[in-house]
Amino acid sequence: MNQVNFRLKEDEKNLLKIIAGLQGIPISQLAKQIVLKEIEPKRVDIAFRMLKEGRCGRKRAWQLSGLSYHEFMNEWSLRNAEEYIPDEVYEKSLDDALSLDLELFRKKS
Amino acid sequence: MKFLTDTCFWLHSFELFTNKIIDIRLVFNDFQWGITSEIRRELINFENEGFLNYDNINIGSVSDDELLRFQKKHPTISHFDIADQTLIVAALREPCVILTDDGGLLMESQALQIKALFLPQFLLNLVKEGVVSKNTYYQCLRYWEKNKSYPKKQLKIWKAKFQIIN
Repeated sequence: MNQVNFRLKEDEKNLLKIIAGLQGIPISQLAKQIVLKEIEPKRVDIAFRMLKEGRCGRKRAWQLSGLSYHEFMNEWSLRNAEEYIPDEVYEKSLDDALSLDLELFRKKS
Repeated sequence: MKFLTDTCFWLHSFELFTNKIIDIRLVFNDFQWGITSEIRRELINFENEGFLNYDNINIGSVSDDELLRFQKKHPTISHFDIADQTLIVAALREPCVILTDDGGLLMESQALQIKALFLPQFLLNLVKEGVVSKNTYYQCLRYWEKNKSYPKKQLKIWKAKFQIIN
Protein backbone atom coordinates (compact mmCIF):
# COMPACT_ATOMS: atom_id res chain seq x y z
CA MET A 1 0.00 0.00 0.00
CA ASN A 2 1.15 3.53 -0.72
CA GLN A 3 0.60 6.68 1.26
CA VAL A 4 -0.62 10.11 0.16
CA ASN A 5 -0.14 13.07 2.48
CA PHE A 6 -1.93 16.38 2.22
CA ARG A 7 -2.37 19.44 4.43
CA LEU A 8 -5.68 20.56 5.91
CA LYS A 9 -6.71 23.63 7.88
CA GLU A 10 -7.77 23.01 11.47
CA ASP A 11 -11.49 23.48 10.73
CA GLU A 12 -11.29 21.20 7.67
CA LYS A 13 -9.68 18.48 9.75
CA ASN A 14 -12.30 18.90 12.46
CA LEU A 15 -15.06 18.55 9.86
CA LEU A 16 -13.52 15.32 8.55
CA LYS A 17 -13.09 14.10 12.13
CA ILE A 18 -16.79 14.63 12.87
CA ILE A 19 -17.98 12.91 9.66
CA ALA A 20 -15.53 10.02 10.08
CA GLY A 21 -16.64 9.67 13.71
CA LEU A 22 -20.29 9.49 12.64
CA GLN A 23 -19.43 6.73 10.18
CA GLY A 24 -17.21 4.95 12.66
CA ILE A 25 -14.15 4.97 10.36
CA PRO A 26 -10.73 6.62 10.54
CA ILE A 27 -10.25 10.02 8.87
CA SER A 28 -7.80 8.49 6.38
CA GLN A 29 -10.38 5.93 5.26
CA LEU A 30 -13.02 8.62 4.82
CA ALA A 31 -10.61 10.79 2.80
CA LYS A 32 -9.73 7.81 0.60
CA GLN A 33 -13.41 7.01 -0.03
CA ILE A 34 -14.18 10.61 -0.95
CA VAL A 35 -11.23 10.95 -3.34
CA LEU A 36 -11.98 7.66 -5.12
CA LYS A 37 -15.70 8.46 -5.38
CA GLU A 38 -14.87 11.86 -6.86
CA ILE A 39 -12.55 10.54 -9.58
CA GLU A 40 -14.58 7.42 -10.45
CA PRO A 41 -16.92 9.06 -13.02
CA LYS A 42 -14.01 10.94 -14.59
CA ARG A 43 -11.70 7.98 -15.12
CA VAL A 44 -13.04 6.89 -18.49
CA ASP A 45 -12.91 10.40 -19.97
CA ILE A 46 -9.42 10.98 -18.61
CA ALA A 47 -8.22 7.65 -20.02
CA PHE A 48 -9.49 8.37 -23.54
CA ARG A 49 -8.26 11.96 -23.44
CA MET A 50 -4.74 10.77 -22.55
CA LEU A 51 -4.93 8.17 -25.31
CA LYS A 52 -6.02 10.80 -27.85
CA GLU A 53 -3.22 13.12 -26.79
CA GLY A 54 -0.69 10.32 -27.26
CA ARG A 55 0.18 10.38 -23.57
CA CYS A 56 -0.49 6.68 -23.09
CA GLY A 57 -1.09 3.48 -25.01
CA ARG A 58 -4.05 1.14 -25.06
CA LYS A 59 -3.14 -0.80 -21.94
CA ARG A 60 -2.44 2.23 -19.75
CA ALA A 61 -5.69 3.84 -20.93
CA TRP A 62 -7.59 0.66 -20.12
CA GLN A 63 -6.09 0.52 -16.63
CA LEU A 64 -6.86 4.20 -16.03
CA SER A 65 -10.46 3.75 -17.16
CA GLY A 66 -11.20 1.23 -14.41
CA LEU A 67 -13.38 -0.72 -16.87
CA SER A 68 -13.11 -4.41 -17.73
CA TYR A 69 -11.23 -4.99 -21.00
CA HIS A 70 -14.50 -5.84 -22.76
CA GLU A 71 -16.20 -2.67 -21.49
CA PHE A 72 -13.13 -0.62 -22.40
CA MET A 73 -13.11 -1.92 -25.96
CA ASN A 74 -16.84 -1.19 -26.30
CA GLU A 75 -16.15 2.35 -25.14
CA TRP A 76 -13.19 2.46 -27.56
CA SER A 77 -15.47 1.58 -30.42
CA LEU A 78 -18.16 4.12 -29.41
CA ARG A 79 -15.62 6.91 -29.11
CA ASN A 80 -13.76 6.03 -32.36
CA ALA A 81 -10.60 5.88 -30.25
CA GLU A 82 -7.16 5.42 -31.75
CA GLU A 83 -3.72 4.96 -30.27
CA TYR A 84 -1.08 7.40 -31.37
CA ILE A 85 1.36 5.21 -33.29
CA PRO A 86 3.53 6.59 -36.12
CA ASP A 87 2.99 4.93 -39.51
CA GLU A 88 6.62 3.80 -39.65
CA VAL A 89 6.15 1.79 -36.45
CA TYR A 90 3.20 -0.02 -38.04
CA GLU A 91 5.23 -0.53 -41.23
CA LYS A 92 8.23 -1.96 -39.38
CA SER A 93 6.14 -4.42 -37.36
CA LEU A 94 4.22 -5.47 -40.48
CA ASP A 95 7.49 -6.11 -42.32
CA ASP A 96 8.74 -8.08 -39.32
CA ALA A 97 5.52 -10.08 -39.24
CA LEU A 98 5.58 -10.97 -42.92
CA SER A 99 9.25 -11.93 -42.89
CA LEU A 100 9.00 -14.00 -39.71
CA ASP A 101 10.21 -17.57 -40.11
CA LEU A 102 7.75 -19.62 -38.07
CA GLU A 103 10.03 -22.67 -38.19
CA LEU A 104 12.35 -20.94 -35.70
CA PHE A 105 9.53 -20.99 -33.15
CA ARG A 106 8.37 -24.60 -33.63
CA LYS A 107 8.56 -26.85 -30.58
CA LYS A 108 11.38 -29.34 -30.84
CA SER A 109 10.01 -32.87 -30.83
CA MET B 1 13.29 -18.58 -30.46
CA LYS B 2 10.02 -18.04 -28.72
CA PHE B 3 7.05 -15.72 -28.63
CA LEU B 4 6.43 -13.66 -25.55
CA THR B 5 2.82 -12.59 -25.12
CA ASP B 6 1.37 -9.72 -23.13
CA THR B 7 -1.90 -9.28 -21.26
CA CYS B 8 -3.65 -7.26 -23.98
CA PHE B 9 -2.77 -9.91 -26.57
CA TRP B 10 -4.61 -12.58 -24.57
CA LEU B 11 -7.57 -10.38 -23.65
CA HIS B 12 -8.03 -9.54 -27.33
CA SER B 13 -7.66 -13.25 -28.19
CA PHE B 14 -10.36 -14.00 -25.64
CA GLU B 15 -12.65 -11.49 -27.36
CA LEU B 16 -12.07 -13.21 -30.71
CA PHE B 17 -12.77 -16.56 -29.06
CA THR B 18 -16.02 -15.46 -27.41
CA ASN B 19 -17.14 -14.03 -30.75
CA LYS B 20 -16.55 -17.50 -32.25
CA ILE B 21 -13.95 -16.26 -34.73
CA ILE B 22 -10.75 -18.05 -33.73
CA ASP B 23 -9.31 -19.99 -30.81
CA ILE B 24 -5.71 -18.77 -30.90
CA ARG B 25 -4.71 -21.13 -28.08
CA LEU B 26 -4.72 -24.01 -30.58
CA VAL B 27 -2.21 -22.21 -32.80
CA PHE B 28 0.24 -21.98 -29.92
CA ASN B 29 0.31 -25.75 -29.33
CA ASP B 30 3.03 -26.06 -32.00
CA PHE B 31 5.16 -23.09 -30.99
CA GLN B 32 7.54 -22.14 -28.22
CA TRP B 33 5.99 -19.29 -26.30
CA GLY B 34 5.65 -17.91 -22.85
CA ILE B 35 4.76 -15.15 -20.46
CA THR B 36 6.38 -13.84 -17.30
CA SER B 37 5.12 -14.45 -13.79
CA GLU B 38 4.01 -10.80 -13.59
CA ILE B 39 1.99 -11.18 -16.79
CA ARG B 40 0.46 -14.35 -15.34
CA ARG B 41 -0.55 -12.38 -12.25
CA GLU B 42 -2.27 -9.76 -14.42
CA LEU B 43 -3.99 -12.37 -16.53
CA ILE B 44 -5.29 -14.16 -13.44
CA ASN B 45 -6.75 -10.83 -12.29
CA PHE B 46 -8.34 -9.88 -15.60
CA GLU B 47 -8.81 -12.94 -17.73
CA ASN B 48 -12.15 -14.69 -17.83
CA GLU B 49 -13.28 -18.27 -17.30
CA GLY B 50 -9.87 -19.94 -17.22
CA PHE B 51 -9.11 -19.23 -20.88
CA LEU B 52 -5.45 -20.08 -20.28
CA ASN B 53 -4.11 -23.17 -18.53
CA TYR B 54 -1.01 -21.95 -16.72
CA ASP B 55 0.25 -25.50 -16.08
CA ASN B 56 1.17 -25.77 -19.77
CA ILE B 57 2.69 -22.34 -20.26
CA ASN B 58 6.37 -21.48 -20.13
CA ILE B 59 6.50 -18.87 -17.38
CA GLY B 60 9.72 -16.92 -17.02
CA SER B 61 10.74 -14.94 -14.00
CA VAL B 62 12.63 -11.70 -13.69
CA SER B 63 14.24 -10.94 -10.33
CA ASP B 64 14.01 -7.51 -8.70
CA ASP B 65 17.78 -7.09 -9.12
CA GLU B 66 17.63 -7.92 -12.80
CA LEU B 67 14.73 -5.52 -13.30
CA LEU B 68 16.62 -2.76 -11.52
CA ARG B 69 19.68 -3.39 -13.68
CA PHE B 70 17.66 -3.14 -16.90
CA GLN B 71 15.82 -0.04 -15.63
CA LYS B 72 19.19 1.65 -15.12
CA LYS B 73 20.41 0.60 -18.55
CA HIS B 74 17.11 1.42 -20.33
CA PRO B 75 15.36 4.11 -18.21
CA THR B 76 12.42 4.42 -20.63
CA ILE B 77 11.08 1.00 -19.64
CA SER B 78 10.21 2.45 -16.22
CA HIS B 79 7.23 4.19 -17.85
CA PHE B 80 5.56 0.80 -18.23
CA ASP B 81 3.88 -1.24 -15.55
CA ILE B 82 5.89 -4.01 -13.91
CA ALA B 83 4.29 -6.77 -16.00
CA ASP B 84 5.31 -5.13 -19.28
CA GLN B 85 8.74 -4.27 -17.91
CA THR B 86 9.39 -7.94 -17.12
CA LEU B 87 8.30 -8.87 -20.64
CA ILE B 88 10.76 -6.37 -22.13
CA VAL B 89 13.56 -7.64 -19.88
CA ALA B 90 12.82 -11.24 -20.85
CA ALA B 91 12.93 -10.26 -24.54
CA LEU B 92 16.22 -8.40 -24.09
CA ARG B 93 18.02 -11.32 -22.49
CA GLU B 94 17.15 -13.96 -25.11
CA PRO B 95 15.93 -13.83 -28.73
CA CYS B 96 12.17 -13.40 -28.64
CA VAL B 97 9.34 -11.79 -30.53
CA ILE B 98 6.75 -9.94 -28.46
CA LEU B 99 3.11 -10.37 -29.41
CA THR B 100 1.00 -7.53 -28.09
CA ASP B 101 -2.07 -5.40 -28.59
CA ASP B 102 -0.64 -2.34 -26.90
CA GLY B 103 0.91 0.37 -29.06
CA GLY B 104 3.02 1.69 -26.20
CA LEU B 105 4.72 -1.65 -25.70
CA LEU B 106 5.15 -2.12 -29.45
CA MET B 107 6.88 1.24 -29.84
CA GLU B 108 9.14 0.72 -26.85
CA SER B 109 10.08 -2.75 -28.09
CA GLN B 110 11.03 -1.39 -31.50
CA ALA B 111 13.09 1.35 -29.88
CA LEU B 112 15.01 -1.37 -28.00
CA GLN B 113 15.51 -3.43 -31.20
CA ILE B 114 13.08 -6.11 -30.03
CA LYS B 115 10.77 -7.46 -32.70
CA ALA B 116 7.16 -6.89 -31.69
CA LEU B 117 3.97 -7.58 -33.60
CA PHE B 118 0.34 -6.64 -33.21
CA LEU B 119 -2.09 -9.54 -33.10
CA PRO B 120 -3.48 -8.84 -36.63
CA GLN B 121 0.04 -8.75 -38.08
CA PHE B 122 0.96 -12.02 -36.37
CA LEU B 123 -2.22 -13.62 -37.71
CA LEU B 124 -1.35 -12.38 -41.18
CA ASN B 125 1.88 -14.36 -41.00
CA LEU B 126 -0.09 -17.41 -39.85
CA VAL B 127 -2.36 -17.05 -42.88
CA LYS B 128 0.68 -16.73 -45.15
CA GLU B 129 2.12 -19.93 -43.66
CA GLY B 130 -1.20 -21.76 -43.93
CA VAL B 131 -1.63 -22.14 -40.16
CA VAL B 132 -4.78 -19.99 -40.10
CA SER B 133 -7.38 -20.04 -42.87
CA LYS B 134 -8.10 -17.05 -45.07
CA ASN B 135 -11.75 -17.26 -44.10
CA THR B 136 -10.85 -16.93 -40.41
CA TYR B 137 -8.66 -13.92 -41.08
CA TYR B 138 -11.41 -12.35 -43.14
CA GLN B 139 -13.78 -12.75 -40.19
CA CYS B 140 -11.17 -11.14 -37.93
CA LEU B 141 -10.89 -8.19 -40.32
CA ARG B 142 -14.64 -7.75 -40.31
CA TYR B 143 -14.67 -7.86 -36.50
CA TRP B 144 -11.89 -5.26 -36.24
CA GLU B 145 -13.58 -3.03 -38.80
CA LYS B 146 -16.93 -3.27 -37.05
CA ASN B 147 -15.40 -2.55 -33.64
CA LYS B 148 -12.95 0.05 -34.92
CA SER B 149 -10.22 -1.82 -33.05
CA TYR B 150 -7.45 -0.34 -35.20
CA PRO B 151 -7.07 2.73 -37.42
CA LYS B 152 -8.89 2.45 -40.77
CA LYS B 153 -5.65 3.11 -42.62
CA GLN B 154 -3.92 0.13 -41.01
CA LEU B 155 -6.91 -2.15 -41.50
CA LYS B 156 -6.86 -1.21 -45.18
CA ILE B 157 -3.15 -2.04 -45.42
CA TRP B 158 -3.60 -5.41 -43.64
CA LYS B 159 -6.55 -6.20 -45.89
CA ALA B 160 -4.50 -5.41 -49.00
CA LYS B 161 -1.63 -7.64 -47.78
CA PHE B 162 -4.11 -10.36 -46.94
CA GLN B 163 -5.69 -10.24 -50.38
CA ILE B 164 -2.41 -10.86 -52.16
CA ILE B 165 -1.61 -13.96 -50.09
CA ASN B 166 -2.10 -17.01 -52.29
